[in-house]
Amino acid sequence: MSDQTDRSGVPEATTGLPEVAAEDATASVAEGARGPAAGEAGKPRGHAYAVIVLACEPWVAGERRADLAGLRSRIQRLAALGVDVAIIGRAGVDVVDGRLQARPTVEGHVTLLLSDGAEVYTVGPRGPRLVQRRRENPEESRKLSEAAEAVRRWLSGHGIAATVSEGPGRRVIDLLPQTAEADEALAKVTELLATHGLNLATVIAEAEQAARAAGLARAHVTSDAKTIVIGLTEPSDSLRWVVRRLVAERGREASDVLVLGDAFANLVDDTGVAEPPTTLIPELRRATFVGVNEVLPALDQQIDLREHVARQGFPSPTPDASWLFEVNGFDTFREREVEAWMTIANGATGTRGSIEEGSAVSTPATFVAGVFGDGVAEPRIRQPVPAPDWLCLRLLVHGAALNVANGEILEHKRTLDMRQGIVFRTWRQKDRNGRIIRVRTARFASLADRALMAVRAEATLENAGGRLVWEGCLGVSHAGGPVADAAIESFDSSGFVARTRGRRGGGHVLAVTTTPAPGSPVARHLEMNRDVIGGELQPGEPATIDRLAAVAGSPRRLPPDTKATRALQRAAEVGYDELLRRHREAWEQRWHDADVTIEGDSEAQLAVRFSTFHMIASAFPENADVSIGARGLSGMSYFGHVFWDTEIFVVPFFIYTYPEAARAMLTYRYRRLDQARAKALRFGHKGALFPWESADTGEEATPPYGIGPDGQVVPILSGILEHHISADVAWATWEYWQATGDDEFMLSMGAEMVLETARFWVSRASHDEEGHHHIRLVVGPDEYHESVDDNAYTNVMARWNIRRGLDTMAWLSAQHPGRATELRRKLHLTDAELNDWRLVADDMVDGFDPKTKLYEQFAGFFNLDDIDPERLRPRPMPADLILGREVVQRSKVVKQADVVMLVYLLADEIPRDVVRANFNYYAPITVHGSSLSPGIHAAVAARLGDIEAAGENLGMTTARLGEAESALAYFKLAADVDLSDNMGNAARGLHMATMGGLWQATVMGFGGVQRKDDAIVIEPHLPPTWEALRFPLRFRGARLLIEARHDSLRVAVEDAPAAVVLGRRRRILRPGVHTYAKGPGGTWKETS
Amino acid sequence: MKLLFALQKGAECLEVLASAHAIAQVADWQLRILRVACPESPGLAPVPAELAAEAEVVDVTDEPLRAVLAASEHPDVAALSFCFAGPLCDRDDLAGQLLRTAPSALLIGRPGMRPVTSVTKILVPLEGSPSSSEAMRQAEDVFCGEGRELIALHVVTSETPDEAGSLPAPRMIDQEYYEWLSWHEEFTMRFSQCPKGGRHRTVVRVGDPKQVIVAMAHEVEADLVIASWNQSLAEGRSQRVRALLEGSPCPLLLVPAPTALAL
Repeated sequence: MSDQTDRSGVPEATTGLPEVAAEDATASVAEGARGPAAGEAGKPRGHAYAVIVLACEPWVAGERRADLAGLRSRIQRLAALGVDVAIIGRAGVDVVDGRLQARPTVEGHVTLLLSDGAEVYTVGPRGPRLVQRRRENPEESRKLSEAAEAVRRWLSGHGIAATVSEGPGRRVIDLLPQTAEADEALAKVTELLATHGLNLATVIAEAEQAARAAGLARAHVTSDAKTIVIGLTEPSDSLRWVVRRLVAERGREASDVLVLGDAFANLVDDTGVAEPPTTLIPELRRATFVGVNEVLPALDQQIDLREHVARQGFPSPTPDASWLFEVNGFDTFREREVEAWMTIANGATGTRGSIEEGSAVSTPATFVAGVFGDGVAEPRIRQPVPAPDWLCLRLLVHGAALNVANGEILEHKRTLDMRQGIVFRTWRQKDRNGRIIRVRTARFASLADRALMAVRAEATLENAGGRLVWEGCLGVSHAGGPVADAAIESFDSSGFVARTRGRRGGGHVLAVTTTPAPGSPVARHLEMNRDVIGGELQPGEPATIDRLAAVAGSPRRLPPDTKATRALQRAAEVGYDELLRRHREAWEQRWHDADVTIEGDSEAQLAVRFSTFHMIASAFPENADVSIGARGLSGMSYFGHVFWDTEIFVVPFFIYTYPEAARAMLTYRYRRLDQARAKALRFGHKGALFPWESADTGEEATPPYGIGPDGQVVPILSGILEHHISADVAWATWEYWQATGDDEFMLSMGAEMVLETARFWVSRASHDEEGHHHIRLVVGPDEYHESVDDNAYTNVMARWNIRRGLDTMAWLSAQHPGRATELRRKLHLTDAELNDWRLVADDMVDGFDPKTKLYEQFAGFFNLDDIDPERLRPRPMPADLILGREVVQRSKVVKQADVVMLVYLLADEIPRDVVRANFNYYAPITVHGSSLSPGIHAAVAARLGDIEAAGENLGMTTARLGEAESALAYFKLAADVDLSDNMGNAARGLHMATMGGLWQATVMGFGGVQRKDDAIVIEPHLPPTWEALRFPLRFRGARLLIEARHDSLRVAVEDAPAAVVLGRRRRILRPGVHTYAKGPGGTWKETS
Repeated sequence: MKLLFALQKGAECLEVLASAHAIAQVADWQLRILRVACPESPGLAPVPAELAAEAEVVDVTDEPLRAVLAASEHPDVAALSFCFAGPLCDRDDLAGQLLRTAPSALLIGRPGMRPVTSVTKILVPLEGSPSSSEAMRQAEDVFCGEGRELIALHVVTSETPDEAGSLPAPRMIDQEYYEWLSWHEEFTMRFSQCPKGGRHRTVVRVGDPKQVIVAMAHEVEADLVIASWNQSLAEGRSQRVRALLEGSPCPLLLVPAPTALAL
C-alpha cells in the first residue's frame, strides 16, 4: 500500500490507531461514564469511536476467510456496545452477507453499504434489510449496458476476453473472469494488459469515454484492478451516506469516525496513478483513517475501550448534595407523595415517580400535555387523558417476580437529582430464598427532545448467580381519565406502540422499546406485549437494559403512529447515553438562567431549588397550545386546568428566567381569546372574559358544582363570578412586555389581549347615580366571601387593566400607527369608546381610605363581625370548615392574600406606607386556607423588612403561624405545602402556584427585586441566617447575576446594559461586574 | 384466632358476653370464656347453655388479673373482652386493671349498650395518622365482607397529627371540589380500603372528636366501634376513648396503636 500524499481537504491516512490518554478517551464517549483515572493500571488506552467503517472487504480476500467468524463476532459485539459499524463493499448483499453472516441482537447498528454505493442494508437479528437502492431507470440501464459493451468490445479487439455482469446501477467488466479472487489482481492485470499493449489507466480512460459516449454524464468509473465498474454510484457515495445518517443525523462529529481499510491509496500501476482512492472524502477530513492489514486487532481495541466504558456506564448523581432530594425507605403511607416529588417532566410529558415494578400502593401515571377528553361522571369535566405506564418493568429472579412486598427490603432510596433532571433509584431486596438482588434505575424525561423519555435499569445478583430477566410492559395508568379507547400492538419487532384516544378529545401515541444496555450480557426477544431481556448471570454481573419511550399527542385526534415511532427510532439510534448527555446539557442551560443559591440555609435552598426544578420541568415553550396547570404534570388533581395560578404566580418566574416559555404561556391565552370573547358575550358583556378554569379549548371548564366534605352538593361560583382572571392575564401580558421589551409579541398578540380585557372591564362596570363605577357581584381572591361588590383587588386591577389598555393604544398610535389602525378596525375601537374607558377608570370605586390608608377588601367588609384572632390559630386553617361557612361569611376572616396580593402586584404604584398599613391589617386575619397565599405574604413581609420575629421556632416540623407574621415563617409555610411530613398535600400533585410564590418570595421578596418601568429595583432584605443570595435574571436583553449579602451587592451584567435602581438611584450598568457596599440610610456605594 | 372473654358474675356481664359472641362469630373467632372469681364479684358466673356448647370455658379462681393477662398474651388471642360497668376513673377492679394493662386488643362492652346480634355497621374513627389507622387495618382484616359497611370517620379539628405520613383534612383548600376529591381518594388509599368487599365510605365531620364520634355512632346505629388507642386514659387524645367508653351505643374494640398516640 502506498501512502497517500496530502491533497488539500482530503484526509491523510495513517497506520495504526492514535494513542490518546484513556481519561480523554472515555470522557469523549459517554457523559456520565466514569473514565479511568490517569495512570491506573489495566485500563485500555485509545479513543473509542462511535462509528467504525470497514472499507477493506475481507470477504473477498482469500487468506482472510478464516477471519470471517472472528470478524462477525466482533461486529456483533460492537453493535451490542452501541457502536455503529458500516461495511462498505463493491459486491452485493448475497456475497457480503452470505459470507459475513453478522446478526446483531438489535437492528440499527450494523449497515452494509454495497454495490459501490448503490445499496444500503441495515442488519438485524433476522439479517439484512434493504433501506435504500439506487435504481437505474430503463434509459440509464440501456446506457450502462451500451457503455460496458463498448468497453468489452474494445478489450476484445485488443485480445482480452473480458466479461460484463450487471449489478444495481452498474455494469462490471471483469478483466480476469477466470480468476475468482482479487489476490494480487493488480499484478496479474498489469501483466495481462501489458501483454496486449495496454495499461490500467488506459482501460479506465476508455471506460470513461464509453460512458460519455453512451450519454452517461455522471457515471462513475472505478476499478479494483480485476474489474472496471461503470456505475451510477461509487464507494464515496457510501461514505457520504455514513456522514449523513450515522454522523450528522445522530448528532456526531467526523472525529467520531474511524475508517479501517486498505483502499485509501491510489491504485498505482507501473504507469503511475491509475485510480485515486474513492474513500477519502472532504466531509471526513477530521475522521481517523487507518490502513490496516489486520482488521481484527483494531476492532479488539475498540471493543476493549467500549466494554470498559460500559462497565462504568451507569449514571450517577451529582456529587453536590444541595442538588439532591432524597427519600430513603419505602413508606406505604407516603408513597403517593414520593411519586409526586419524583415526577420527571419536560413540559410535554410528566411521569410520576412510581417504582418500576409497581406495588399495591403505587399510582403510576404519565400525563401528556394538551391532550384532554370529557369525563364521564357528572358534572362532566374536561380531563387529561393519561398515557399507559411506560416505566412498567418487572424483574424476574429465577422466574419469580421481585417486588417490595416479597422478602425483605435491605435498602431503598430514590433521589431526585435536580441538576441533571434524573431520578435515581437504588433498591436491595432479599427474596424469600435468601438471594440478595440490587437494582438501580436512572430515568429522565428529555429536556432536549420533549418527545422522549428513558430509563436505564440494572439488576445484579449479589450473593449467588442465576437467571435474571427484565420484562418491559405497558402498564395501566392509575390516573384513570376519559379514555375512549386504547390499543397496544408491537411494531417492527423492535417495540410496542400504544394508542389512546380521549372521549371527545385528543389522543396520543406512545412508542416504547427495551434493549440491552451497551455491554450488558443479556439478550432480548419480544413476547406478547412485553419486551423480555435476560440471561444467566454470575454474582456481581449486572443485567442492564435501556427502555426508551416516545410520545406524540394531539389535542383533536389520534396522531399517526409514525410520529412516535420515528422519534423512538431516532432515539434508539443515538442511544440512552447520548440522549442523557443532551438532556443534561439542556438542564445546564436552564439552571444557568434560573438557579437560585442560598448560602446559610440548606432547607430554604432545597425548597427553592425544588420549586424551580418542577417549574422548569413543566414548561413547554415550543407548544403554545399548552400552559401549566395548577398541579403541573405530576398528578390528576385539578385535571390539568389552568387558573390564575399560572399568570400571577408562575409566569413571573419564566419572564425573568426563560422568557420564551412565558411568551408561549401568554400565546396560549391569546389563541383562546375568541372563547374569552364568547364567554363575555354570554354574560352580556363586551371584550374578553377568560375562563376561570381553562383546559384545551379555552372554554370555561369550571364544574358548576362539587361535592363537599360531608357529601353535600356545593355550587361553585368561581366559573361565573371570579372575573379577576381577565385582569390577571392582562397583568402577565404587560409584565412580560415591560420586562422583555418584546415589542413583536405586544404588536401581534399582547396589545389585543390588553385591549379586549380592558373593554371587558368597562363593560362589566356599572355606575351609580353619582357617576362612580362599581363592579358588583364578584368573587375575589378571598373565596370565603362570594357575590361581593367592589372587591378591591378586582376593582383596582380592573382600573389598572383599563389604563394599560389606554397606554397600549397610545403606544401603538405613536410607535406603530399601522397596527393601531388595524386593531381599531378589527376591534371596532373608537376614540369615543376610549374616552369612556378613561372615565370609568378615573371613577372606579377602589375602597381606599386615605386616612387609614386601607383598602376595604370589598364593600361592607369593615362592617363584618370581628373575630378573635385566637380562633384563627394555628394557621393554615380551613376556616370555612373549622368555624363554619356562615360564621366565615359574616366575619372578617380572609382565606388568602387578596388586598395583600393587590399591594404586592402593584407595588410600583402603591406607596410603601399603604403596603405596610394593609399588610398589618390583613395579615393577622388571613388564615392561608389556600396554598397560593403564604408565598405572597412572604414576599410582602420581606419587602417590608419583617424578616424574622424574635424567638420564633422555625424547626423541621410543619410551620404553623402563631403570632408572628414574619417573612421566614411564611416562606416556611409555603415550602411545607408540598414538602411537609404530616400534611400529605403533594400526593395527588405538586402545587405550581406555591412554587412560583416561593421563587417570588425569594427573589422579589428577600432579593428585593421589583420592576419599575424599564428598570430593575434591587433592595435586598436577607434573613439573618442567609449569608448570601444569588440569582440570575433576564431583563430587556440583558442577563444579570445578582449576589446579595448583608452588606454588599454584586451585579454582573452580560449581553446588554441594564437599568438598575439601587438605593433609589437609577443607574445604567454596562456589561461587566459591579459591586456595591451598603451605606447608611439604604444607600449603595459602588466599590468597583 | 380466639376471642377471650373474662366473665365475671352479674347479669349485665352476660348481656355483654352475648354481644361479644355475636361479634366473634362475624370475625370468625373462637370464643374462649374465662370464668373469673374476683373480690368485687365473688363466685363464678353461669355460662348460658348455648354458649357453653360452643365455647371453651375455663375457670379462674386465683390471681384473676395475672391469669387473664397471661391468657391474653397467647398468640392465638385476637382480643380480650370483658364487661366494663360503672365509672371510668380510679378503678382498681379487674376491668379497670385490664383496661390499663392488657397488651392485646380489647373488646369492651358496657351494660346498657345496644345488644349486638349481627354486625352490619362498623364505625372506625381515623384522625389521619398511620398509627391511628391500625384500627382500620384490623377492621378490614377481620370485618370487611359482604353485607357489612365500614364507615371511616374523620373529625376535622384545628390540630393536626405530628406523625410523618399523616393526612388530616386539608388545611389549604384552593378549590373545594378538587381538594376534597383528591383528599378522599388519598385518604382511602392510605388508611381505609376494604378489599374483601362490602360497603365502605369515609365521612368527614367538624367538631370536638370526643363528641362527634359518639354522636356518629348513634347516628349510624353502629354495631361496633373500632379505634386505635395508646392504652392510657390519661389526658389528651385518650379523652376520646373515655367519651366512647362512656357514651358509645355499642361495643368498642380498642386496638393498640403501633407507635405514636392514636386516640
